[in-house]
Amino acid sequence: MKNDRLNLLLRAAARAEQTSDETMPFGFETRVIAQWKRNSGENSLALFRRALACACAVVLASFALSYHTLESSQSTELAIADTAMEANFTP
Amino acid sequence: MPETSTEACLKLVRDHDEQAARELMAQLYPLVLKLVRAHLPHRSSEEDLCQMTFIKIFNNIDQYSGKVPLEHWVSRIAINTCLNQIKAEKSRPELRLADLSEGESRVVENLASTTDELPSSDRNSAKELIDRLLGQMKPQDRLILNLLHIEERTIEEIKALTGWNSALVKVRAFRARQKLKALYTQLTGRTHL
Repeated sequence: MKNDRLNLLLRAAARAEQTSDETMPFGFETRVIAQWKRNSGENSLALFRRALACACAVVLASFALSYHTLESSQSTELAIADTAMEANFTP
Repeated sequence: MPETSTEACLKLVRDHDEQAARELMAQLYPLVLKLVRAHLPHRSSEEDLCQMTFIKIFNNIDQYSGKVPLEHWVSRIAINTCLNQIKAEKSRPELRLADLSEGESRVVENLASTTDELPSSDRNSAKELIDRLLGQMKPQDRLILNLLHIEERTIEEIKALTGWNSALVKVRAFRARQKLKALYTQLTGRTHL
């Protein structure tokens, strides 16, 4: 490697003293764990909400479908009854 | 709690065991702290970034497959956290010669007058100067120069940490060096770097 100024600067910087204090700050673990628990709780809640929304959508869809079926079967029955009555009363 | 192996500890953390999480944190804290200190954005505290890194680690612990050593996976998360923070801090004020400290100015003068290694007393100032110059660069350029020249990591290690391929690492390193050189020249007004 060429001994140019940039290399000299980078090499000197690489050999700078590292801050040696590696002790965990007071309360650090507790803060991390609290946030982690909160996030996992939020995730479970979000999952539950999504599941609930899906279930509601399925219920509504099935209700709409059965309503439509009931309606159409009822009108068919009425039409049959009408025809039968007309047939009876027609001379 | 007796000291458990990392594997067992991870299993317990996946089951949301607090004690295991504390043990894992104690084990990984020096590594995370070292990486955060090496890639620390200007306006963030190392404690906040360490905290963000550990929260990401625990939130995504289920995604750790065990195919790579845990330290590699954790290093990647720590570096990405710093990188994202650097990206979030968009402003990079221009550096002027008058902004340099006494020690940094001495380093510039020494570099101008010699082709020998800088004295050990200038090392910390050299690091501060490099940090100032890197602070003006794009996050990825800053990252590659830090990993390659300050932490003196190999191309293989950088590949593992960044997910870039060898060619990309080399190209980015070359371009980042050119940019650093240009910044230094702009700062000092000297063309022969």
